[in-house]
Amino acid sequence: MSVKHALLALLYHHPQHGYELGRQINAVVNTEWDVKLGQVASTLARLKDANLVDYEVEPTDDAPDRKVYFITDEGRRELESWYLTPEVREYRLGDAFYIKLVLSLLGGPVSPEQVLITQRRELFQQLHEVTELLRQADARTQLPWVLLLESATMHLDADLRWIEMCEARLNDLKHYDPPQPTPKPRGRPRRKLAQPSES
Amino acid sequence: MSIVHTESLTKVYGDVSQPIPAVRDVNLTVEEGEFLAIMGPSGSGKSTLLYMLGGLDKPTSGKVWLRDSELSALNDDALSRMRRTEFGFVFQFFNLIPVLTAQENVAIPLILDGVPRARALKQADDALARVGLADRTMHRPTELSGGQQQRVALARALVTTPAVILADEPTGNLDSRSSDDVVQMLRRAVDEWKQTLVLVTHDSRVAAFADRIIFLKDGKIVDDNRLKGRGNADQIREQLSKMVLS
Ligand SMILES: Nc1ncnc2c1ncn2[C@@H]1O[C@H](COP(=O)(O)OP(=O)(O)O)[C@@H](O)[C@H]1O
Ligand SMILES: [Mg+2]
Repeated sequence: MSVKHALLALLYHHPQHGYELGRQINAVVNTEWDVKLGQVASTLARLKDANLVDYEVEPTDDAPDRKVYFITDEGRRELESWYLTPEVREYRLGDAFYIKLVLSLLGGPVSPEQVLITQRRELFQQLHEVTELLRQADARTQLPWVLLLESATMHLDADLRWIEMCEARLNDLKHYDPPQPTPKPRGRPRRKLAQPSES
Repeated sequence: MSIVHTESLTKVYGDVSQPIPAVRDVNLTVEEGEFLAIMGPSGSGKSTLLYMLGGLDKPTSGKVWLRDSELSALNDDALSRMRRTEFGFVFQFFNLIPVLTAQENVAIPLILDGVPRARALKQADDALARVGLADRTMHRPTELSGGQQQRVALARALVTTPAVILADEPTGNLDSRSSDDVVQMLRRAVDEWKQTLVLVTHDSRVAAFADRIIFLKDGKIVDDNRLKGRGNADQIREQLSKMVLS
């Protein structure tokens, strides 16, 4: 997650001191996203180098003076293009469970049925736990947390439905012949005979 | 302690020339105070199993016990009495009587059982209050939302303090929000009122509330999954925030 853009988004509204920014990130975005103050400070320094933010020094009675950061025009443009860039999720096409399932279809010590059942148990266990957290959460005071739990629930639910679909199609799947790798020619490649040109 | 128990429970529909086995050799023990979900593809025998557990359908062979009485050995009168006093049913379609108020709908099983009307109505009010409908007792079903109607049906099932509540797709006819309400209420019935609950659902989000899930396929139990007691909340919290915020 981008601390950089979170800071720009907060500074967009009004100039702020680094310490306040750190506290605001945690409060506004999510209490679970623990951004350390050191990270805020180093990110602000990099933003300043990149000319996306700048600061004014505000004199205080007790030294040191406070730096009050504000967003630059360039920073505004960067923020806007960040908002307008969609987030890409990984579709897990190299999913570990999928690989396990496909290999179990070749025959082995454990049947694909059992592989599916084992995975479903795990998913249900997780869904059960998330549901329990959702029951304990208070939507009035912890809305971001509740929404996050909803997201986890929906993903688990989708995974479970996919398992169900695999179960339903397991018989077809068993008749599926895995493609054999084409053998690589050994030794020196033979010179190809000239082919008659295709029309 | 076990409350419902089956032994080689089997139901075959159709006739000899074309038997349709719906439930096959099911051995199942439901613990007292347990929330058990039955899942499985459509036609896998979930409803048939549930109805046999509650004495609504007779097994072709095998046995069902409620505590130490064998349902499958009772005559029709005894069985029908057992159904009224020991089981509470909740169905997908709420099965409320449209011309009666919520209070009267809930009182029916008591009145049928010979409880004086005034007392029955009072108990109905209490049951409705327990499902959060204290201010809806005089409404008719058509004046209530789907979720509220299902809660009336739940109050009607709870009012006789049955040994077991049997629910067949109780959220199947509800939007996801009302479905959450109803299933939370069912969870409370187990946690706070010590009800035993057996629920058929094909919704994994509903089943996630259960303590245990069994899966049926072609009338047989293919998996039995106990969900309780794993991990701790803080750990999951941490895992989750890593998963979603990384
Ligand atoms: N009254 C009936 N007469 C004949 N066959 C039935 C009857 N009820 C259910 N069946 C059959 O029994 C099987 C299991 O049905 P059911 O218990 O309703 O499954 P589920 O509730 O899991 O969808 C299905 O093949 C269904 O067609
Ligand atoms: Mg059914």
